[in-house]
Amino acid sequence: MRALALGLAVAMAACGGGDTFFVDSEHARMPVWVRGAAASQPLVLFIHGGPGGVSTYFEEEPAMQTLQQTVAVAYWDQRGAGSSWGQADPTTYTLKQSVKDLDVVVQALAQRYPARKLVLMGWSWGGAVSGEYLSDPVRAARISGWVNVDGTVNAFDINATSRAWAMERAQTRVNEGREVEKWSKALTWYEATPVLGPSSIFRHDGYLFDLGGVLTEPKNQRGLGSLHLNLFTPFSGLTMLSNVGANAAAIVSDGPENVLKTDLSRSMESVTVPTLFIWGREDGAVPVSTGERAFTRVAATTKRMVVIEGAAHEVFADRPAEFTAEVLPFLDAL
Amino acid sequence: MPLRPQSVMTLLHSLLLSVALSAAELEVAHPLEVNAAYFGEMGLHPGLRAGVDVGLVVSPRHALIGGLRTGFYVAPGQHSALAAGARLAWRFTALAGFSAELFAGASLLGTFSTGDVYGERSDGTVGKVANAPYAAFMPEGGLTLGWNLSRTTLALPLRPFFNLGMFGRFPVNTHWVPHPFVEIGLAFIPGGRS
Repeated sequence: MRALALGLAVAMAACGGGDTFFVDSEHARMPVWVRGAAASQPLVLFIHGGPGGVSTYFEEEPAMQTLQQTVAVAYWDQRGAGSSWGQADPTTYTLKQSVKDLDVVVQALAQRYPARKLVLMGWSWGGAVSGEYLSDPVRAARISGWVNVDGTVNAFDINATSRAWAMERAQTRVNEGREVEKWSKALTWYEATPVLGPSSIFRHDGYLFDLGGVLTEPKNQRGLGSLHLNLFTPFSGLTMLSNVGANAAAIVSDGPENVLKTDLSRSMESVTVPTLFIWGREDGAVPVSTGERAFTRVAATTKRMVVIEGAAHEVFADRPAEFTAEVLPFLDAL
Repeated sequence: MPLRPQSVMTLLHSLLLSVALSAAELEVAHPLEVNAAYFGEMGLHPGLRAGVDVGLVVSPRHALIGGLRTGFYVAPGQHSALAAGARLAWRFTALAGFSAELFAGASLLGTFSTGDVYGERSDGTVGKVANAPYAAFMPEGGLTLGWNLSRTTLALPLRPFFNLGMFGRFPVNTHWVPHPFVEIGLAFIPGGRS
């Protein structure tokens, strides 16, 4: 045991810095990695998308690095996703369970960083998890603000609007004579697929990538992260790939908790914390019009929606400077 | 270059001859090796592993070896693990004592967090909870290169070795996670010439 303790000490000394702890909930062991200016206010909890995406990976994003110079950012990999492990049952990959897990993460952060204001920053599916969390007044009392980044609120609205977005862009490609065969075939497929479901969502996602609806430029994609990130931080690329490969189908399986059937429009009417919606104009996955419709329902008296030009779904990757220029003043005002 | 039927026949003949000679050389013996090694999950996630190997069937060139292993590694920020298990290897030793070995094994793995663990306690409050391990099955396989110094002019009862391998961790949630690893170690051969 002494050798184990010594090895642990050496390894932690070599670790990439920050504070790492874990949340154990319903057989999932989920890492939470706090980076940046830990003594400052507020502390931002980044809640990743997917579902089934990853949070710890985004620590290397230039936008997050900028935020970390001013505030602390906590990265939490959700159950069955990213670098989380344990032995979680796929039937627990639900919004309800994610909100429960988030509550444990929030309370753990409150104990570890007492007297810090906590802000939820939900991106994509993380917008649904954080939005649903904030619709409950007891839970919301633990939170000082909400940044919803291209977040899911009403999946029915999103899927219909995203499909229309993709068809419009595909038609434009055909009209411009760019990859005519590919996009003509895509249009035929969309016409035969009036409603996106578990069997069609991944093909749709592929088209969105190719049409620039996720990232405006392919160069903004960072691959599997640096060697340092993989070796000396809570992020594990191999675990992430295994989780994605095994769980993607389970997460969108056609059950009653199917994420494609999530509508949190009414939950927005219970959200009262100061709120910032921040969207990419070119977002094809969660188009800006769906964000605008959700924003009007948010009950908070202090709320603002910003649309960043030239950015798609990963708005912080496409336009990091513009993203942080909006987020930092919001955090400062809390 | 196309492979001619004559070449295939020559190759098969050589292989059969080699197997026949090896079989003639076989002797049952029980040389023991005790070994210890740096175990690096992903190369740089540090750990230690130790074990014993026993030659089950041994000839001057070939050996079937059974072994036991126990050890640990720490993946900073991710997890730490304790493992214990058994393995089987086929080793070919060249004249100068250089050896190449293919091995396969299986262990039980206890995986811990490398930090505080929070969860809901029995009274419904959230706080620190025990860093309880998750048990996993750990099959492994790979290649070992070694040098039996007792077969050299040094005549030392030692065999430095280098392992390159892959182990699996199951279940992680419901599936496998592959882990490449390296080992750099030293085996002690009581009496030499295993």
